[in-house]
Amino acid sequence: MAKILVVDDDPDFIKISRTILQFQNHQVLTAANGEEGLKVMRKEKPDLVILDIMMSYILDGLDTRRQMAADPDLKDIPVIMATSLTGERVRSELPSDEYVPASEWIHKPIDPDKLLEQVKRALG
Amino acid sequence: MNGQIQEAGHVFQIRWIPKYTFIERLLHWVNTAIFIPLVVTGLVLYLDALKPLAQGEAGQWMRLVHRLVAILFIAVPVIYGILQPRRLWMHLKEFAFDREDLGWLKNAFGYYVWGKHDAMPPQGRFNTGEKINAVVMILSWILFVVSGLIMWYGKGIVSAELFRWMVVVHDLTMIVAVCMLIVHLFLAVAHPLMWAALVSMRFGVTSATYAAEHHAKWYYGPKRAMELYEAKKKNASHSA
Repeated sequence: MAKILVVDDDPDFIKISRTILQFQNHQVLTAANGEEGLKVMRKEKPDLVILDIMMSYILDGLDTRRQMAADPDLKDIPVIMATSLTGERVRSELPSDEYVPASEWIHKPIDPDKLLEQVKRALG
Repeated sequence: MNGQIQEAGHVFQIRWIPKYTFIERLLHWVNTAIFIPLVVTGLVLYLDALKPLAQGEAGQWMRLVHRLVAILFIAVPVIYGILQPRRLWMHLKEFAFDREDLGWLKNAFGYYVWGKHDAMPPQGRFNTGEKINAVVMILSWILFVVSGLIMWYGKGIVSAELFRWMVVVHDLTMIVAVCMLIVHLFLAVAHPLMWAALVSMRFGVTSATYAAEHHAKWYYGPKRAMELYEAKKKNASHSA
Protein backbone atom coordinates (compact mmCIF):
# COMPACT_ATOMS: atom_id res chain seq x y z
CA MET A 1 0.00 0.00 0.00
CA ALA A 2 1.39 3.40 -0.97
CA LYS A 3 0.49 7.04 -0.44
CA ILE A 4 -0.38 8.45 -3.88
CA LEU A 5 -1.13 12.06 -4.73
CA VAL A 6 -3.35 12.72 -7.75
CA VAL A 7 -3.04 16.30 -9.05
CA ASP A 8 -5.72 17.17 -11.59
CA ASP A 9 -8.30 19.91 -12.06
CA ASP A 10 -10.82 17.45 -13.49
CA PRO A 11 -12.97 16.10 -10.62
CA ASP A 12 -14.05 13.15 -12.78
CA PHE A 13 -10.44 12.05 -13.30
CA ILE A 14 -9.78 12.42 -9.56
CA LYS A 15 -12.87 10.35 -8.74
CA ILE A 16 -12.05 7.57 -11.22
CA SER A 17 -8.37 7.32 -10.33
CA ARG A 18 -9.21 7.37 -6.59
CA THR A 19 -11.63 4.46 -7.07
CA ILE A 20 -9.06 2.48 -9.08
CA LEU A 21 -6.19 3.13 -6.65
CA GLN A 22 -8.24 2.47 -3.53
CA PHE A 23 -9.21 -0.87 -5.05
CA GLN A 24 -5.59 -1.87 -4.41
CA ASN A 25 -5.66 -0.30 -0.92
CA HIS A 26 -3.52 2.71 -1.83
CA GLN A 27 -4.01 5.85 0.23
CA VAL A 28 -5.10 8.60 -2.18
CA LEU A 29 -4.48 12.31 -1.67
CA THR A 30 -5.74 14.87 -4.15
CA ALA A 31 -5.02 18.42 -5.34
CA ALA A 32 -6.69 20.53 -8.03
CA ASN A 33 -3.64 22.37 -9.41
CA GLY A 34 0.14 22.49 -9.31
CA GLU A 35 0.45 25.01 -6.50
CA GLU A 36 -1.91 23.04 -4.25
CA GLY A 37 -0.15 19.82 -5.29
CA LEU A 38 3.25 21.14 -4.20
CA LYS A 39 1.83 22.15 -0.81
CA VAL A 40 0.40 18.64 -0.29
CA MET A 41 3.68 17.06 -1.43
CA ARG A 42 5.70 19.11 1.07
CA LYS A 43 3.33 18.26 3.89
CA GLU A 44 2.48 14.63 3.15
CA LYS A 45 5.58 13.34 1.28
CA PRO A 46 3.66 10.95 -1.03
CA ASP A 47 5.30 7.82 -2.47
CA LEU A 48 4.05 8.66 -5.95
CA VAL A 49 2.49 11.61 -7.77
CA ILE A 50 0.08 11.32 -10.70
CA LEU A 51 0.28 14.72 -12.33
CA ASP A 52 -1.91 16.21 -15.04
CA ILE A 53 -0.29 18.69 -17.45
CA MET A 54 -2.99 21.18 -18.31
CA MET A 55 -4.66 22.47 -15.17
CA SER A 56 -5.16 26.09 -14.11
CA TYR A 57 -2.99 26.98 -17.10
CA ILE A 58 -1.52 24.95 -19.96
CA LEU A 59 1.95 24.36 -18.55
CA ASP A 60 0.88 24.01 -14.89
CA GLY A 61 1.81 20.32 -14.67
CA LEU A 62 5.17 20.81 -16.40
CA ASP A 63 6.06 23.74 -14.14
CA THR A 64 5.08 21.66 -11.12
CA ARG A 65 7.33 18.82 -12.27
CA ARG A 66 10.18 21.28 -12.78
CA GLN A 67 9.68 22.72 -9.29
CA MET A 68 9.67 19.21 -7.87
CA ALA A 69 12.96 18.49 -9.64
CA ALA A 70 14.49 21.64 -8.13
CA ASP A 71 13.37 20.79 -4.59
CA PRO A 72 15.71 18.32 -2.79
CA ASP A 73 12.78 17.00 -0.73
CA LEU A 74 10.62 16.26 -3.74
CA LYS A 75 12.98 15.47 -6.57
CA ASP A 76 13.08 11.72 -5.93
CA ILE A 77 9.32 11.20 -5.82
CA PRO A 78 8.33 9.19 -8.90
CA VAL A 79 5.85 10.95 -11.18
CA ILE A 80 3.31 9.63 -13.64
CA MET A 81 2.41 12.38 -16.09
CA ALA A 82 -1.22 12.17 -17.18
CA THR A 83 -2.59 13.99 -20.18
CA SER A 84 -4.93 13.95 -23.10
CA LEU A 85 -2.74 16.50 -24.92
CA THR A 86 -0.42 14.23 -26.83
CA GLY A 87 -1.16 11.02 -28.63
CA GLU A 88 0.78 8.26 -30.31
CA ARG A 89 0.75 10.09 -33.62
CA VAL A 90 2.90 12.98 -32.42
CA ARG A 91 5.57 10.80 -30.86
CA SER A 92 9.15 11.61 -31.82
CA GLU A 93 8.01 14.13 -34.41
CA LEU A 94 9.89 16.99 -32.90
CA PRO A 95 13.39 16.98 -31.49
CA SER A 96 14.09 18.97 -28.38
CA ASP A 97 16.92 19.83 -26.03
CA GLU A 98 14.60 20.41 -23.13
CA TYR A 99 12.40 17.92 -21.35
CA VAL A 100 10.72 17.13 -18.09
CA PRO A 101 11.58 13.79 -16.52
CA ALA A 102 8.68 11.46 -15.84
CA SER A 103 8.73 7.90 -14.51
CA GLU A 104 5.67 6.92 -16.53
CA TRP A 105 3.15 8.40 -18.92
CA ILE A 106 -0.54 7.80 -19.03
CA HIS A 107 -2.96 9.01 -21.67
CA LYS A 108 -6.51 9.96 -20.86
CA PRO A 109 -9.04 8.43 -20.79
CA ILE A 110 -7.29 5.99 -18.49
CA ASP A 111 -7.42 2.22 -18.63
CA PRO A 112 -7.71 0.96 -15.00
CA ASP A 113 -5.45 -2.07 -15.54
CA LYS A 114 -2.83 0.04 -17.27
CA LEU A 115 -2.90 2.64 -14.51
CA LEU A 116 -2.41 -0.01 -11.80
CA GLU A 117 0.40 -1.60 -13.79
CA GLN A 118 2.12 1.78 -14.25
CA VAL A 119 1.69 2.65 -10.57
CA LYS A 120 3.28 -0.68 -9.63
CA ARG A 121 6.17 -0.04 -11.99
CA ALA A 122 6.70 3.54 -10.86
CA LEU A 123 6.71 2.50 -7.21
CA GLY A 124 9.40 -0.02 -8.12
CA MET B 1 10.48 27.48 -21.87
CA ASN B 2 8.04 25.33 -23.77
CA GLY B 3 6.06 22.24 -23.02
CA GLN B 4 8.22 19.33 -23.95
CA ILE B 5 8.42 16.00 -22.24
CA GLN B 6 10.62 12.99 -22.82
CA GLU B 7 9.33 9.48 -22.45
CA ALA B 8 11.46 6.40 -22.96
CA GLY B 9 13.71 8.14 -25.46
CA HIS B 10 10.89 9.99 -27.21
CA VAL B 11 10.37 13.69 -27.07
CA PHE B 12 6.89 15.10 -26.85
CA GLN B 13 5.89 18.60 -27.70
CA ILE B 14 2.54 20.17 -27.09
CA ARG B 15 1.47 21.43 -30.49
CA TRP B 16 -2.30 21.57 -30.31
CA ILE B 17 -4.16 22.51 -27.19
CA PRO B 18 -7.82 21.64 -26.68
CA LYS B 19 -9.76 24.89 -26.34
CA TYR B 20 -13.42 23.98 -26.86
CA THR B 21 -15.24 20.70 -26.27
CA PHE B 22 -17.37 19.11 -28.97
CA ILE B 23 -20.55 20.18 -27.15
CA GLU B 24 -19.34 23.78 -26.91
CA ARG B 25 -18.58 23.92 -30.62
CA LEU B 26 -21.84 22.25 -31.55
CA LEU B 27 -23.84 24.67 -29.46
CA HIS B 28 -21.88 27.66 -30.83
CA TRP B 29 -22.74 26.69 -34.42
CA VAL B 30 -26.34 25.79 -33.53
CA ASN B 31 -26.63 29.18 -31.84
CA THR B 32 -25.23 30.86 -34.97
CA ALA B 33 -27.71 28.98 -37.16
CA ILE B 34 -30.53 30.07 -34.83
CA PHE B 35 -29.45 33.70 -34.51
CA ILE B 36 -29.44 34.42 -38.25
CA PRO B 37 -33.13 33.60 -38.91
CA LEU B 38 -33.99 35.45 -35.69
CA VAL B 39 -32.21 38.55 -36.98
CA VAL B 40 -33.76 38.28 -40.47
CA THR B 41 -37.32 37.82 -39.22
CA GLY B 42 -36.72 40.39 -36.48
CA LEU B 43 -35.52 42.99 -38.99
CA VAL B 44 -38.57 42.36 -41.17
CA LEU B 45 -40.80 43.05 -38.18
CA TYR B 46 -38.70 46.02 -37.03
CA LEU B 47 -37.71 48.01 -40.13
CA ASP B 48 -40.25 50.26 -41.80
CA ALA B 49 -38.64 49.63 -45.17
CA LEU B 50 -39.48 45.93 -44.85
CA LYS B 51 -43.00 46.47 -43.50
CA PRO B 52 -44.72 45.01 -46.61
CA LEU B 53 -43.14 41.66 -45.74
CA ALA B 54 -44.53 41.87 -42.21
CA GLN B 55 -48.16 42.21 -43.31
CA GLY B 56 -50.82 39.67 -44.20
CA GLU B 57 -50.01 35.98 -44.41
CA ALA B 58 -46.29 36.63 -44.88
CA GLY B 59 -46.29 38.63 -41.66
CA GLN B 60 -47.98 35.76 -39.83
CA TRP B 61 -45.27 33.41 -41.08
CA MET B 62 -42.53 35.83 -40.03
CA ARG B 63 -43.96 36.00 -36.50
CA LEU B 64 -44.37 32.23 -36.33
CA VAL B 65 -40.80 31.54 -37.51
CA HIS B 66 -39.43 34.22 -35.16
CA ARG B 67 -41.20 32.66 -32.18
CA LEU B 68 -40.36 29.06 -33.04
CA VAL B 69 -36.68 29.89 -33.51
CA ALA B 70 -36.80 31.98 -30.31
CA ILE B 71 -37.71 28.80 -28.38
CA LEU B 72 -34.49 27.21 -29.63
CA PHE B 73 -32.58 30.42 -28.83
CA ILE B 74 -33.81 30.19 -25.23
CA ALA B 75 -33.16 26.45 -25.03
CA VAL B 76 -29.53 26.28 -26.27
CA PRO B 77 -27.77 27.91 -23.25
CA VAL B 78 -30.12 26.03 -20.89
CA ILE B 79 -29.21 22.72 -22.57
CA TYR B 80 -25.52 23.61 -22.28
CA GLY B 81 -25.96 24.40 -18.59
CA ILE B 82 -27.60 21.01 -18.06
CA LEU B 83 -25.05 19.04 -20.11
CA GLN B 84 -21.89 20.79 -18.92
CA PRO B 85 -22.62 22.80 -15.77
CA ARG B 86 -18.99 22.82 -14.67
CA ARG B 87 -17.77 24.16 -18.04
CA LEU B 88 -20.49 26.82 -18.02
CA TRP B 89 -19.45 27.97 -14.55
CA MET B 90 -15.80 27.93 -15.62
CA HIS B 91 -16.63 30.16 -18.63
CA LEU B 92 -18.56 32.62 -16.50
CA LYS B 93 -15.56 32.94 -14.19
CA GLU B 94 -13.22 33.34 -17.19
CA PHE B 95 -15.31 36.24 -18.51
CA ALA B 96 -14.52 38.34 -15.40
CA PHE B 97 -12.49 41.44 -16.23
CA ASP B 98 -9.13 42.26 -14.63
CA ARG B 99 -6.40 44.94 -14.74
CA GLU B 100 -4.83 43.61 -17.95
CA ASP B 101 -8.11 44.20 -19.78
CA LEU B 102 -7.64 47.96 -19.42
CA GLY B 103 -4.17 47.72 -20.98
CA TRP B 104 -5.61 45.56 -23.73
CA LEU B 105 -8.32 48.14 -24.48
CA LYS B 106 -5.77 50.96 -24.57
CA ASN B 107 -3.69 49.09 -27.15
CA ALA B 108 -6.53 47.41 -29.06
CA PHE B 109 -6.57 49.89 -31.94
CA GLY B 110 -2.87 49.37 -32.78
CA TYR B 111 -3.30 45.64 -32.38
CA TYR B 112 -6.26 45.21 -34.72
CA VAL B 113 -5.35 47.88 -37.27
CA TRP B 114 -1.54 47.78 -37.40
CA GLY B 115 -0.92 44.32 -35.96
CA LYS B 116 1.14 45.71 -33.06
CA HIS B 117 1.03 42.73 -30.78
CA ASP B 118 3.93 43.38 -28.42
CA ALA B 119 2.20 46.09 -26.42
CA MET B 120 -0.77 43.87 -25.58
CA PRO B 121 -0.81 42.69 -21.95
CA PRO B 122 -0.98 38.90 -21.52
CA GLN B 123 -4.44 37.40 -21.87
CA GLY B 124 -6.19 34.33 -20.49
CA ARG B 125 -8.05 31.73 -22.55
CA PHE B 126 -10.32 34.53 -23.72
CA ASN B 127 -8.90 37.93 -24.60
CA THR B 128 -10.63 41.18 -23.59
CA GLY B 129 -12.45 41.45 -26.92
CA GLU B 130 -13.76 37.90 -26.59
CA LYS B 131 -14.84 38.63 -23.02
CA ILE B 132 -16.71 41.77 -24.11
CA ASN B 133 -18.42 39.78 -26.87
CA ALA B 134 -19.39 37.06 -24.38
CA VAL B 135 -20.71 39.50 -21.77
CA VAL B 136 -22.73 41.43 -24.39
CA MET B 137 -24.15 38.17 -25.73
CA ILE B 138 -25.08 36.90 -22.26
CA LEU B 139 -26.78 40.19 -21.35
CA SER B 140 -28.49 40.25 -24.76
CA TRP B 141 -29.78 36.73 -24.21
CA ILE B 142 -31.28 37.73 -20.84
CA LEU B 143 -32.86 40.90 -22.25
CA PHE B 144 -34.16 39.12 -25.38
CA VAL B 145 -35.71 36.33 -23.33
CA VAL B 146 -37.33 38.56 -20.70
CA SER B 147 -38.63 41.20 -23.15
CA GLY B 148 -39.57 38.59 -25.76
CA LEU B 149 -41.57 36.43 -23.34
CA ILE B 150 -43.41 39.49 -21.99
CA MET B 151 -44.18 40.62 -25.56
CA TRP B 152 -45.35 37.09 -26.45
CA TYR B 153 -47.40 36.21 -23.40
CA GLY B 154 -47.81 39.46 -21.49
CA LYS B 155 -50.37 41.29 -23.59
CA GLY B 156 -53.35 42.02 -21.33
CA ILE B 157 -51.45 40.70 -18.32
CA VAL B 158 -48.75 43.37 -17.88
CA SER B 159 -49.44 47.11 -18.05
CA ALA B 160 -49.42 48.80 -21.44
CA GLU B 161 -46.50 50.95 -20.36
CA LEU B 162 -44.39 47.95 -19.36
CA PHE B 163 -45.33 46.24 -22.62
CA ARG B 164 -44.15 49.31 -24.61
CA TRP B 165 -40.90 49.37 -22.65
CA MET B 166 -40.31 45.71 -23.46
CA VAL B 167 -40.69 46.47 -27.17
CA VAL B 168 -38.07 49.22 -26.85
CA VAL B 169 -35.73 46.95 -24.85
CA HIS B 170 -36.15 44.16 -27.43
CA ASP B 171 -35.38 46.53 -30.33
CA LEU B 172 -32.36 48.17 -28.66
CA THR B 173 -30.96 44.78 -27.67
CA MET B 174 -31.34 43.64 -31.27
CA ILE B 175 -29.35 46.66 -32.52
CA VAL B 176 -26.52 46.02 -30.03
CA ALA B 177 -26.46 42.25 -30.68
CA VAL B 178 -26.42 42.67 -34.46
CA CYS B 179 -23.56 45.21 -34.25
CA MET B 180 -21.64 42.77 -32.07
CA LEU B 181 -22.38 39.92 -34.47
CA ILE B 182 -20.99 41.95 -37.39
CA VAL B 183 -17.77 42.72 -35.48
CA HIS B 184 -17.51 39.08 -34.34
CA LEU B 185 -18.02 37.82 -37.88
CA PHE B 186 -15.46 40.22 -39.34
CA LEU B 187 -12.81 39.28 -36.76
CA ALA B 188 -13.45 35.55 -37.06
CA VAL B 189 -13.58 35.36 -40.85
CA ALA B 190 -11.64 38.29 -42.27
CA HIS B 191 -9.10 39.62 -39.77
CA PRO B 192 -5.60 38.23 -40.46
CA LEU B 193 -4.58 38.08 -36.76
CA MET B 194 -7.64 36.16 -35.68
CA TRP B 195 -7.34 33.05 -37.87
CA ALA B 196 -6.79 30.80 -34.85
CA ALA B 197 -10.15 31.71 -33.32
CA LEU B 198 -12.01 30.22 -36.27
CA VAL B 199 -9.74 27.16 -36.30
CA SER B 200 -10.41 26.52 -32.62
CA MET B 201 -14.16 26.93 -33.07
CA ARG B 202 -14.08 24.51 -36.03
CA PHE B 203 -11.71 21.87 -34.70
CA GLY B 204 -11.67 22.50 -30.95
CA VAL B 205 -7.92 23.09 -30.72
CA THR B 206 -5.51 25.98 -30.93
CA SER B 207 -1.79 25.83 -31.67
CA ALA B 208 0.61 26.02 -28.74
CA THR B 209 2.55 28.81 -30.50
CA TYR B 210 -0.59 30.91 -30.94
CA ALA B 211 -1.69 30.25 -27.36
CA ALA B 212 1.74 31.27 -26.02
CA GLU B 213 1.69 34.52 -28.03
CA HIS B 214 -1.94 35.58 -27.77
CA HIS B 215 -3.15 33.90 -24.58
CA ALA B 216 0.03 33.94 -22.49
CA LYS B 217 -1.74 33.89 -19.12
CA TRP B 218 -3.58 30.73 -20.14
CA TYR B 219 -0.42 29.14 -21.53
CA TYR B 220 2.30 30.15 -19.06
CA GLY B 221 0.17 30.98 -16.03
CA PRO B 222 -0.40 34.54 -14.77
CA LYS B 223 2.92 34.94 -12.92
CA ARG B 224 5.28 33.88 -15.71
CA ALA B 225 3.17 35.57 -18.38
CA MET B 226 3.55 38.89 -16.56
CA GLU B 227 7.30 38.34 -16.13
CA LEU B 228 7.68 37.68 -19.85
CA TYR B 229 5.54 40.72 -20.67
CA GLU B 230 7.54 43.02 -18.41
CA ALA B 231 10.81 41.69 -19.88
CA LYS B 232 9.48 42.29 -23.40
CA LYS B 233 8.46 45.84 -22.50
CA LYS B 234 11.88 46.49 -20.96
CA ASN B 235 13.65 45.20 -24.09
CA ALA B 236 11.44 47.33 -26.30
CA SER B 237 12.18 50.50 -24.30
CA HIS B 238 15.93 49.73 -24.37
CA SER B 239 15.99 49.22 -28.13
CA ALA B 240 13.89 52.40 -28.64
